Amino acid sequence: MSKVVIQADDVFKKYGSRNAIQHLNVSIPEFSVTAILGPNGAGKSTFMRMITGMVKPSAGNLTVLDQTPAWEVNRSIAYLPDRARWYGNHRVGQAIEWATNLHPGFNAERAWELMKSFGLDAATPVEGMSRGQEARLMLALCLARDVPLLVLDEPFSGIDMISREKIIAALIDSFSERQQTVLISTHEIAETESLFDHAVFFQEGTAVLSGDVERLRAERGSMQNIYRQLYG
Amino acid sequence: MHHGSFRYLIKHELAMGISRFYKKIWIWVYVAIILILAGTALTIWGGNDKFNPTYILFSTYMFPFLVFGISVKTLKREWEKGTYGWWLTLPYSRFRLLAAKAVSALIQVIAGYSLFFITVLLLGIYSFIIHGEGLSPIRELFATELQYAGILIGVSPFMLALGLLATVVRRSVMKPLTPMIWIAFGLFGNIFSWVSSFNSLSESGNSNGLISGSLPDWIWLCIIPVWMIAALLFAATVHVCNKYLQV
Repeated sequence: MSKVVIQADDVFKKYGSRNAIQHLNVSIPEFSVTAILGPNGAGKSTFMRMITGMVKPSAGNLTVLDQTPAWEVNRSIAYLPDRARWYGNHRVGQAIEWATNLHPGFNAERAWELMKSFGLDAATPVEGMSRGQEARLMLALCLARDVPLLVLDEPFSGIDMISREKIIAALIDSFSERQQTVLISTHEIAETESLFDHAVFFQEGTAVLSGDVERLRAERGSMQNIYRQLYG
Repeated sequence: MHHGSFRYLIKHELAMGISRFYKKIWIWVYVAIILILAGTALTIWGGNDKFNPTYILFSTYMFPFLVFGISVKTLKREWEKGTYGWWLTLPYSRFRLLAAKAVSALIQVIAGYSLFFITVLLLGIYSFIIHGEGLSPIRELFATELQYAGILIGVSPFMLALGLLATVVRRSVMKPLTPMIWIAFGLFGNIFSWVSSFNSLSESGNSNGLISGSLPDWIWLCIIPVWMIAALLFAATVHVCNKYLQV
């Protein structure tokens, strides 16, 4: 049994009278690449925001890297927020400078390599970038951090096929090179299925199914089939 | 702690704030037009107290409101531009993140004040020279400017902290407090009306709405409690950001 990096025990998050997360019980194993799956509004982004301490649970117990989520823990987490944009007044070089100065464990050399492979050079201004270029920039900034936990909230949302393929290739390279625990929430199951070795299916704020991807496939078929069975 | 992170955060905030002005050429066109109009008015109507350069100081009445606006903008843009996720998950305390925004806003405000008062002084010098009024009115204008600057420096930390608080309260479960913040905004933003009202009642004051002579000491003594209230408002902003923010 591998070590657990993220543990949620009966976690709740309320917004007014609405439960965004309820009775959430999840264990994420160390060094796994975990898919966080589910329809819109299932609580995936809220869960990821709770991991980074941006949102606090209303009840229950959540531990990340053996600590309660807080800004201090974020030194060890590279997080790509949902629907995020990058600072419009930056150029690629300034974005790398920003991360070098503010993100512990940021490897600028690796960031430049990733930018190059993504077709972005130092002088490219963020303002005027396509959605795909901006997504590649933000992902490169996350992948260039030497931290134990990588949390990517919908890294492929609104991105064209070519950019998606480049991002997936970069993720595969990154995961093969380093030992990191990775969480990715996505709706692009068909294209990304090969990335994952663990999966958690969310519905109405709770985890309705989770486990080793190989085992789930053996029991229920492909991830797409499981998705259809649960939400179809 | 990442070495120099606070200084870098301030630098980043300043770059974000100032880049807006660089890009908007129309702002500079307006500034140029206003300067040309003021210079022309002083050339034609200046001298013999017809158009005293001190009248330009009337525009300082809106400055406390502008400070509030700059403060709101520095925080609100994280949500408007979709960068709040990066900002809120930086591995630094909310106190540190908000303090960097407050310091950068304060630097912008002080730079703006300095630019304004130097420009008015230069216009005054120009007017007094071409109308042959000597050095005495220049000294008088400078003394009046110092009083305006003093009041602005006194009230600015309060308006700045209030702007930050207004922005986080609006995005928190404490949103119903917003009307109270707007009332404080209206009351304190109008500081020059209050000061000139008290001033016109005193012996040294005049009734044209401009501060003249020396303000009573108690007005200067009020600055310390106002700064203390500003510190409390900042602490409240950090607390709301830590506990009640809804993202």
